[in-house]
Amino acid sequence: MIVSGPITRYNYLVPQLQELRSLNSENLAKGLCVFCIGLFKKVVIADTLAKLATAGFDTTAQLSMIEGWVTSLSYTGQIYFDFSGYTDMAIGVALMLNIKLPFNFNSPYKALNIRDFWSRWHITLTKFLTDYLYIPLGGSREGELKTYRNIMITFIISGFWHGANWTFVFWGFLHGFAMIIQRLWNKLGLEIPRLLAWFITFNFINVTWVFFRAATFTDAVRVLRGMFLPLSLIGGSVFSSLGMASIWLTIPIALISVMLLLSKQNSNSFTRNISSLNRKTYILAILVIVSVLFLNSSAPKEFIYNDF
Amino acid sequence: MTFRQFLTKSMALAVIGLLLIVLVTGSLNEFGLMGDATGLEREPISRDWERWAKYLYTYNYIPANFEGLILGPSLADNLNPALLENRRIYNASINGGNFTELRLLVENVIEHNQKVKYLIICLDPYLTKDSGRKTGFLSQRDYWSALGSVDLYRYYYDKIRNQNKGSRSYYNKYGHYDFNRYKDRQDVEKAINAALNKNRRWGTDQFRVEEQARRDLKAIVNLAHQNDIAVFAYYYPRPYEIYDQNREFYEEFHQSLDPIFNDSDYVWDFNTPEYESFTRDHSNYCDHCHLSRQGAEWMIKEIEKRLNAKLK
Repeated sequence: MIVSGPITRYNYLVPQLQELRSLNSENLAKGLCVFCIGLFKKVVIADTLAKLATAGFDTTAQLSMIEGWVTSLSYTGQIYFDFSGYTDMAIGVALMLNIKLPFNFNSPYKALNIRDFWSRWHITLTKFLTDYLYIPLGGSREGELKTYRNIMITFIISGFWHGANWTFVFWGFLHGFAMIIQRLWNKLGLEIPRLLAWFITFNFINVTWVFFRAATFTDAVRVLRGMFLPLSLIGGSVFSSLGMASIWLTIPIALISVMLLLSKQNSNSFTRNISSLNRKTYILAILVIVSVLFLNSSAPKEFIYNDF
Repeated sequence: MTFRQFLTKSMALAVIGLLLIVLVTGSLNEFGLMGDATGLEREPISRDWERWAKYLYTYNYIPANFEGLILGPSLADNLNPALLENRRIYNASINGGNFTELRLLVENVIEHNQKVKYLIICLDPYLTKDSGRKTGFLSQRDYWSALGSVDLYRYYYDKIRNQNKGSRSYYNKYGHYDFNRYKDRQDVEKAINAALNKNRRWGTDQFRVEEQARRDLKAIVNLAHQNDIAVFAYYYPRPYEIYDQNREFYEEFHQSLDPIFNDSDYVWDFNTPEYESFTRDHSNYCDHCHLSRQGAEWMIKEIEKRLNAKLK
């Protein structure tokens, strides 16, 4: 579990291991809640969205505009629910054993700028790269140009960390570039309305995930062409191989995923605020039942981040 | 409410909910998994669900109702055992299947065997060109999926949709798949010529015998021997021109597979001069390889003759 995240420091984890206490019902209940939320995110949402994303990225040459957007948004949803589901499960199991692991996600798609995004996405990796790469390189202490250089090196290495492919490196470059643009923008002191800021940030992240997911640059460009310069608007052949039942199943799950992304609560706050236990009893039971029904199916269930 | 009560209540609710789902699906018994399946009639609803349904039938439905199994890819899937009055044979062939997948079916039938006495195996390079499961289906997990899973609800969705559209299943209770219905419209001569041209241009790489596929066939035959199940195997009749073009390969294919069988097995070849009148007559085909209704009817009767001669 610790291989992919949350990345946990020795000083944080080992003292807890040395002071292991007997199981207690509060941590068991909270841990189980977080674990079940993670399981639901993974097997219900991420694996369902994965079918759309895979179908789209496997047939990039034929994507219409709608198919291009469905493909990229599906992957944007998939990677978040897959990886945050994974870390929720790790955090939940650890909590059941009285070990508190750091939270790794904090509603990243609500970010209002790219810096905000990286303070919410894979938080432990961001901290790791900041402490062991960005700051040793000089951080922001040695003038503006060197700061930009350090940001770019950190993000390109972050891209390379995810895979030995130029598409990952380019993804890192785009994020580094966006961080530099944001720094320059902040200097101008201009404000952007919150909704517009969110819209720009989310779409930037969505577009950059295309490079992260595509097997080649050609595939990435084809998906982006489908999104922005399509040959047709609707198309219709790319997802037909999934079958109508799968497509109908995807619609409510996509809606649930949007609701979860926009919800005020996330798995961190769900356990922090454990006041209304009675209502959460039913939520937990439903999460378990639905997750088991999905888990008991034939769809592949590999975690994306196991590849990185 | 204490945390202990929260845990107990939520887990109890989850278990009760899951048990209810299993009770409902168990009572519907869509795949004949529950109780005595003798006399039941079950058929896959579509090609998409063929692997899943046929694998689930191997637990109870096939062992309880059939004495023989036909094993092959789509080439054998259109053989209709309903035409044989005195034999109860299930066509367990899988569209696009290979020997790995057929082995999984046979292993499960034999594990739950009550009545199966013989296997009829189609031998064709299509079955040996690759190995391994081609989908997520055909594993022990399928059994649990049939008791409650998203797969099961997708299956019911497709079933209800088909019924509402008034479209009938192309399968029957013997596992026969009537794909001739749409294949009949094809121009056979054109399909054969296209296949000949393709082989000329691209060679016959598609005919290679994969070692694992060979091992899977051997495992099927060995399993039959160990369980006193008679083995009938036939080399599938390809249209004469295609066989002739690739004669050298087909002979190698023979040499590779023949040693798997022993003297007690009944193995024959539909491509010998004895059957040339059949393979030269293109009305027996609906494309470059699949048999037409006429061809499939002749073939199942021919198989019956062999069964009758050996089994008495």
